[in-house]
Amino acid sequence: MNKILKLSSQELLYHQSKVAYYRNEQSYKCLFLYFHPTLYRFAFNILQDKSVSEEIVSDIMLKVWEMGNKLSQIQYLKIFLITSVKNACFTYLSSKKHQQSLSQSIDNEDIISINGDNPEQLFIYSEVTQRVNKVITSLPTKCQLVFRLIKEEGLSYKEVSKVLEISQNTIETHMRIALRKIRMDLQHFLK
Amino acid sequence: MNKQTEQYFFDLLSLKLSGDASESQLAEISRILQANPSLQFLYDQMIEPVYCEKEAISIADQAYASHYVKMQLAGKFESINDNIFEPQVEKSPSFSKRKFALMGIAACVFTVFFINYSLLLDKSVIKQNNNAFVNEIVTKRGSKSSIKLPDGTIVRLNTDSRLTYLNFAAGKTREVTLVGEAYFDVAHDSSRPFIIHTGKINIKVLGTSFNVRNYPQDKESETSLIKGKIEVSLKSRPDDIIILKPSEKLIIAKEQDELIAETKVKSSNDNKVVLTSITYLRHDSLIAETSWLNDKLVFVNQPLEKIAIELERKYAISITFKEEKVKKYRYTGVFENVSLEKVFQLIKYSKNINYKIDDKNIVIE
Repeated sequence: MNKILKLSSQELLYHQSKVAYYRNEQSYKCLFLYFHPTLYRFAFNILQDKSVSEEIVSDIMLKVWEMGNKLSQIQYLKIFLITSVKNACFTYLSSKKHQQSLSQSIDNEDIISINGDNPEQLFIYSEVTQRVNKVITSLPTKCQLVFRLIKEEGLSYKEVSKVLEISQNTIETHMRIALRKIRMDLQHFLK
Repeated sequence: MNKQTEQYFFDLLSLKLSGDASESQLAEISRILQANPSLQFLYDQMIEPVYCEKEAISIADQAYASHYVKMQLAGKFESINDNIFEPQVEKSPSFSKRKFALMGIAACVFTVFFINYSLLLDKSVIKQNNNAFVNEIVTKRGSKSSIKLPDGTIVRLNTDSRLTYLNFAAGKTREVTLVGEAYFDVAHDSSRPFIIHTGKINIKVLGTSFNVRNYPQDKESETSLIKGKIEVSLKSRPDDIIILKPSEKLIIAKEQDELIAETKVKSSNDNKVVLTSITYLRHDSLIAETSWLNDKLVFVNQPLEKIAIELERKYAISITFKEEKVKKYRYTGVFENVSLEKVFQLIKYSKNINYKIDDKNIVIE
């Protein structure tokens, strides 16, 4: 799990209510910085577009501010935010009438190989990680989202099942498929 | 290793990654790893974080900077008591130390220059005002002034500016000369028009409020009318009068070479004079042109080069660029009571720029 600002769930609730009741900008900033990496990566995984992802995250965070007191009624802010980002991304995709469906564009080798524009590029440490990343990118959409939310964002099964509206059994299956694929690829790589 | 063990291991690993794994499940993982070393490589890869935290922090910071501007422009952040950027009490002297500022203004106003008039003014003016004194009010970089002229006109002088005027009582007109930027709230007196001489233009008013900007370093001089009516004429073409209506802004390009300027005036498609509407910021009554009155710096799609000049004036510093292309980066934003350091941090966030602050000198790389 990689957390930028290490906030405990209590601290999160504290900031959440500070924003809800006192319009505290400092707390708002904390929430923004805490959630941004996760939300941005999540949006990027769906959209494969830096600026649109940024825009969507910013819009969602603006809504958080506008919610006012209602914000305090949200029990799990993280799930709420990821779900909002997910919905916004899919709304964007359908409104744009993207002919390429998400899975098509992800299966498309060209897009993966030309990822000079990909912000993930910055984070990749080694050839192996790069390879693993490529395998992940080639996974079917749902499978990929499940895998990334669990491995990269450290969401629990329960959280993932709420966000993506799938059962915990399905999550388990997706994880098995992903891990097996990665393992096969790595073995091939080692030989 | 059979498929069942593999699957079992995957399930356990997933649980560990999601943070749901129990103590006994974690122990199971290490047991399986010991029995099946071939799984170790995969395990190591999965445990290692993919993202570099430092990068993610800087991306989040940058995103916040632009989000902050967006929120400000949308008028969402309005609480003064809880500013994110911890505003420092560093305000311009005229605001924070009113008394001192007032004394300063008084001192300036009463500073009378007994200089040979011909050095300062056109001969034609001198003939009319033979016995008048020349009053001069000067603001240094980093400070501002507010002056009430003898006729009741209020002038707010921005930093690094100079206003000179003759004894009003003597003449049939009220004439002032301005270098720099000022906001005028002219007292109504239809019998004695108020005339501002600045650079290439003369502005004639009866009673109104408007902003004039004519810094020697700038390539253009600007006149923005807030309310009332003013007549603007170019010194090179005194017969052509441009009448400004409220919310209009006149921009006049200054040419270094007088010859070029004249040929351009003669040519039919004269591009030296531009009439635009005053830049309003969305969702805000604030007008960018007069934002300096409220101690705000407002930039709407301005190149860094221009912003630097503005910052030099406000903070009394000097800024040098090491690279030409950086000068052209464009910014939109509102700075309100922000320390100089914070300004540069924000500039740095949105574009990858490095800077060094050495007392009053700043180098942008």
